[in-house]
This record gives sequence, structure tokens and C-alpha cells, in this order.
Amino acid sequence: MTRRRCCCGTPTCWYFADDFDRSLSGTTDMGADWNEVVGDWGIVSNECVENYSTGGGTADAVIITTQQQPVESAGEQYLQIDIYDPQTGDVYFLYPACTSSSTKGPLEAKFECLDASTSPQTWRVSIGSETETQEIQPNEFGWVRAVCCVDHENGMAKAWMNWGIVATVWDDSADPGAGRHSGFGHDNSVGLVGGIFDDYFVGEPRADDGTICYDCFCRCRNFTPGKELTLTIYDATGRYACTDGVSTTLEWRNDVTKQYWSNEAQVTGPNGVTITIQFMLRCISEDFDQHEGRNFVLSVEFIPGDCCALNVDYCAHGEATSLSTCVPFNLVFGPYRATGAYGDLNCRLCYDPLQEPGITTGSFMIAITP
Amino acid sequence: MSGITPVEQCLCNGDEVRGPNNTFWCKYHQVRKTQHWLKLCRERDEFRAAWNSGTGPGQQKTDAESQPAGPMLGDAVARLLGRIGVTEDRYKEAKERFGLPPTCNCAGRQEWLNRVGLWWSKQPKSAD
Repeated sequence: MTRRRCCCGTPTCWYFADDFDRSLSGTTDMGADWNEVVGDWGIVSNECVENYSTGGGTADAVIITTQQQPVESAGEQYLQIDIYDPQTGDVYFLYPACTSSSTKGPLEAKFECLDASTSPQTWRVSIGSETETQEIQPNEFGWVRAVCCVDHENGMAKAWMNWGIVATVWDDSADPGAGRHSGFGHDNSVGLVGGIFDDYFVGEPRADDGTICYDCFCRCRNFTPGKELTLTIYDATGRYACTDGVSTTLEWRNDVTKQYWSNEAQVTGPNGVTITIQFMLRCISEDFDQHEGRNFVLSVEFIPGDCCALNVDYCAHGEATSLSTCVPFNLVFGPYRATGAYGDLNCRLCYDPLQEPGITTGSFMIAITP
Repeated sequence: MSGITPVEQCLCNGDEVRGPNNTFWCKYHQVRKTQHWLKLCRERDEFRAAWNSGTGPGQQKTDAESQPAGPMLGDAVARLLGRIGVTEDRYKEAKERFGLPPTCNCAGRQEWLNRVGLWWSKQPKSAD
């Protein structure tokens, strides 16, 4: 078991890593950190291989670490393994939150190489009830990386391939259980070996003091918002009064280029003008401890008419205010204001400042809840 | 068995007079609620608790504009006391002289008075 210092003066994040850079006598085992549950695992040329002696892999081969993470973070893991030269038809697994060094947990992340002959390769990634196809470009040495993250407290799981933290699949209602071990495996019973692996890593996403170690899930302290959130406009006054109570469901876009929640709402005012308001909520990663809920930013766009000309700081990428809370999850944004003698003349939301100049100002707030 | 269902635990019934966009004024929580917020109030303990304690969605004011036009009650009292020489330091000094711990919690008291004033200023709106 190893602890790593995250930041100056802060407590540490638990992790276990194995680069397999060692020689074991006759490559007969993996060392004390591993339990060969199914298959014949060993180390060759500083890499982990399975069924290296007879050729051909063992069906459903599994290896689990003997290392356990702290009780406080049981069931919460970031997990990765590098895979060399995958072939079409290969199937690999990550086993998060294993309940012992010989027993898998209730969830597994599955990585199937559908086509290794193309560049990029085509893979199918699954975890929980979610499955997606992903295009993967191996690195210059022929390696790809399989990654998953699980969160027992919030009942969520994510899986993806290669680098970064952009999830391919996210099941927001999949409980990995409270296991403290982890492992990996394959189901490649043809070919020279079942698989060639390197650089195994497992770590707790959060330390017991709340420190973020690996940013798998967008968090508001310990709360992880799901794939659907509800946005509500409230406290709307003056020339924005007709927006009061307008609500829409922000949906997480399952696309690697769209890692955010978004949707739009249409508002028709007493002036008969319909304005579409587009919302996009992003999660940023800074200062989780000090600013509750403030690792979220919201962009708001009005079509037609730029109702945000005087509120550009809020509308482009406004941070949640300090009044946001994580328990209960309630992100507060705003106020969005119409200011000046006639408000924003380009904005005809609820009220036309050119035709009815009586009401010139107004404001509204936005709340985001589960 | 108390016989209380989660729906009955939210003080707002949801059958109040409907306003724009199907919202209604919840006089218990002093906030205009949407149907979604009513659902949260009925089904989620943490949201119900937040509204009951005055910190639920829509209950928080966020900036100077949303405060009353006049000075906040706590701020006004602090200014008034300051004018007649009752400052935080002098208050602590006086307590010490009488053998009491030289504490004040002046800021906390001021903030509490501000909140009381804010609550009071909102009372007429309950007829909404």
C-alpha cells in the first residue's frame, strides 16, 4: 500500500501501481501484490503477460491485487491498464471494487477491439448498462490504455480508453459495491498470449479529507450530479418577469466532443415574441474544497437577440455563486440583469424596450438541481 | 408507523393558486416554487430540510440589488451604536472590566439582525 502526497501540506491519496519492471524466478508468478485467480500470469521483458508458456490465452483470465485501499474510500476507484498490440476480437476487462483478492465486484469494465486493422482502431467500451463505440489511436509504440472509475457513494461508473478524463460511457446508476481490491483480465483464448499489459494503476479518487486525487466525476464536494439536471429560472423581475419559473432538463451529451450538460428553453412573453434560451453547464476542476459548487460554469445564449450584451461575464461562462450548495445540490447563477435606461435594446425577452419603454430593468436568477 | 407519507411532509401543498409557468407561492417557505421544486420538496429529505431552514433553492438572495433599498437592520444598528461610541473594542473592554469574557460575536449578531430585517421586509409579499 502506498500513499502519495498530492499537494503541499495536504494529506495523501492512496494508490497502488505496478510497472511490472522486474524479473521473477522463471516467470512463475506475479509477486506478492497479485493473486492469479484464473489463468497463468507472469512477467516477461518487464511486462505482464498471461499464459506465456503454452501459447494462447486462458478464457476469462483474471488477476486481482492483494493490495487494499483504505476503508474510508471503499468502492471508489480510478483504475487503468495499458494493453500492447491489441488484435481484432480481443476482449479486455478492468475489475473495480473487487471484494477480495479472489472475488470480483459487481461491476466490470469491458473493452472489445472490434477492428484493429484500421487507423484509428474501433473499440466497444461497456460498463454497467452503458455501451459505446470509440475510435482509438494507439500510441507510437502500439499501446492503448483502458480506464474506468467507480463511485460507490453516488452509485456511478465510467469507462473510457486512452488518455485524459473524457468518459466514453457513464452509467449514473451503477453501484460498484464497497470492494477495496481491483484487478484486470482478458478473454483472448487465441493468439500467442492472452495479452501483454503494462503500467497498472489503481487509486482512490478522493482522500479521506475530501482532497480530489483523480478527477473522474464532476463533483460538488461528495455529491456527483447525474446525467440529467433541472435548470430553473427564478426571482425574475421587471422586463424578465415572464421567464419566472421556466424550467428545462439539462442533459449530459454522450459525445467525446461534448462533455457538458445542455439544453434550451423557449419563452414567449406578453409581447408575443418567442426567445430561445440555450444553456450549457460545464464542470471545471479547481479548488473543490474552498468553493462549494463553484467548480461549475454556465453559459447562456439568447436567440434571437443578444440579451446578454451587458452581462457578458455571466452569460459567457458565469461561475456558480458562493450561495450554491452541494447538500442539497443547488447551483445558483446570476443575477442576469437588464440595465441601463432601456435595458438591453437588442433583447426582446418578455418585453420590447423600444415599443414599451416603461419597464427598463429587470433581473433573474438560475438554479440547477437534480 | 406515523402514517405520514413523503408527499404530506412538504409544507407546500402544491394546490395553491398557480402563477406564471405553473409556479405557485409557497407561503411556508416564502418562495415561488416550480413544480419541479415541489417534487424535490416532497421526495428529497435534504431539499425539504433546506427549504425549512430558509436555504433552499430560490430562498437565497445573492446581491445588493436583491436586498431592501434601505440599510440592512444589522448594519444600521451597528452604525448607530458606532456613532454613540459603542464599538466592538469598547464593548469587549467593558465586559472585561466587569469580569466577563471579552467576546462579542458582533459580526454574527449583525448578520443575524440583517437576516431578521430581510425576513421582516418580505412579510407583505406573503399575500401574493
